[in-house]
Amino acid sequence: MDIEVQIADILCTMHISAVNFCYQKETEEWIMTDALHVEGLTKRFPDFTLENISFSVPTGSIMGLIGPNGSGKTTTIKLILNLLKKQSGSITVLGFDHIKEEQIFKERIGVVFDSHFFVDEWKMPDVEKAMGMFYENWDTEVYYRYLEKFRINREKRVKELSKGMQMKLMLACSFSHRAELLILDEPTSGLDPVSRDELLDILLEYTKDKRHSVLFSTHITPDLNKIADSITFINRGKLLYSGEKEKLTESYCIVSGSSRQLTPERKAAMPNIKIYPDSFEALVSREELSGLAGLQTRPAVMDDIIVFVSKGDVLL
Amino acid sequence: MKIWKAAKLDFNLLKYYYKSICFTLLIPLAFILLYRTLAVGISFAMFMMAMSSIYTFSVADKNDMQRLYRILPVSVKALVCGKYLHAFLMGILAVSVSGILQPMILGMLGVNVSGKEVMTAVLAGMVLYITYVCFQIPAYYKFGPIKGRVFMYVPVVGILLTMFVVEKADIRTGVLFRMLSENRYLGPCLLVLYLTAVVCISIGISVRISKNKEW
Repeated sequence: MDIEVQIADILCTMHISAVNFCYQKETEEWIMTDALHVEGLTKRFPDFTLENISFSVPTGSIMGLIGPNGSGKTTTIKLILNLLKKQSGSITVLGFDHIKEEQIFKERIGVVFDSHFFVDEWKMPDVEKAMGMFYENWDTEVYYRYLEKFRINREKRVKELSKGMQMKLMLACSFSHRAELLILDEPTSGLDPVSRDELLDILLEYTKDKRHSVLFSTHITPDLNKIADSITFINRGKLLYSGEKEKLTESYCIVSGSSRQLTPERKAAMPNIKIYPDSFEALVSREELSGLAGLQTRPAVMDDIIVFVSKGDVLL
Repeated sequence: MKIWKAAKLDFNLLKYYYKSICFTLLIPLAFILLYRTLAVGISFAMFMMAMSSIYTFSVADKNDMQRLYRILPVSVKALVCGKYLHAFLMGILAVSVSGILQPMILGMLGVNVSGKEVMTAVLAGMVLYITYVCFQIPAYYKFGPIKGRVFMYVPVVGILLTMFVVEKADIRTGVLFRMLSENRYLGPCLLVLYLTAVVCISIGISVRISKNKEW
């Protein structure tokens, strides 16, 4: 048998979808170019549709999934995890098809939701016992080391931990089976600034080696300013932007002026506009600034983009 | 292996509910003091244990654990089979405790119980228990522990139905009884066939419901 055929057989038995994924040999280890790849994802509900969402999380990076409440962030994450059934599209996680190779990819990812998924009465050893038996790579020593690092008292019950500590417990579980990709669904909502900062530091440290990746959904955009490499912006189920974080904020600015300066032509040219009794503010792309002479401008931050776009539903 | 792990997870869920389960096991002991019949005592013990099969669903629902089940690297089929394995092991626990303690209590009350009687009562109790849980579990998967709470009372219906059939039908003159007494292998074969069918159909329905469920 040819050596190529043998290699192909081995790849097949390891359930690696080599066709969809490009591997590069780097320092004797195989590294994937994309930790997560979503293509044309669609899911219809009676009152909401997530439509044709496509994005990729490069290996070693942190991607922020942003959008206002109800925009489809959690639906996207649930579809990735196969908690919901998609209507169309393809999802590959760490090189594995998210349905056909569900168990294999779940062995290699960590998930943190906005609230914990353990029994309230469990103590830390109970969590370890329950989680550890399902993962081949589970390392009990690592689990307890992370509990110590995160200052989680192992004698406490899950319900006695603060929300920040519960988040850290879910992270400790993910790290204990050496998850290569972390999927976090609004982990910072409801956390105080100190806990939020600690959580972000943990994520930064996690991706420092450029082998671990994070998909981080949130509507608290300052979190992403600190840690995200790229942004995917969803609004009302539609993908408005996916790419570098800086490119998004640098491409837009806020213009403002008095009501007198808001001519009908200008109003028509600015779909993302907020009109006040005597003034107005609008989000415009920097390329369009030349046609808006005489108005005040300031750089747009991510919050501005979310607020303005959620009204206009257009990202120019 | 994963089925066993899923069953172990269910045992972990109930770790802090063992006291109420022990209570469930002890109530039939009081019941036997009144009725002094082993068959009734063991049937009642299995009836009580079947009513507590909702516990794992309640604990999972209360703690929003469906998310945990779906992120673990284990198939839906293995999780469902684990749930059944856990339920059957709880049944074995109940029938063992009852099968040991109840004859002892009856002995102390002066009622002699033969080994054959114990075996028959244990077997009947286990068959009833498997029947009950096989009706209950798919309903819990479909409706959840709150809407599906009504199915907790399947054993009550089962016991009433059994009593009704025993009272109304003259078993000894029935065709089935005659056939069973003529062929000593027919009874065990029918029983194995019945249990296999009930368990397989029930698991099949539960897996189907679980796979189609969105969270």
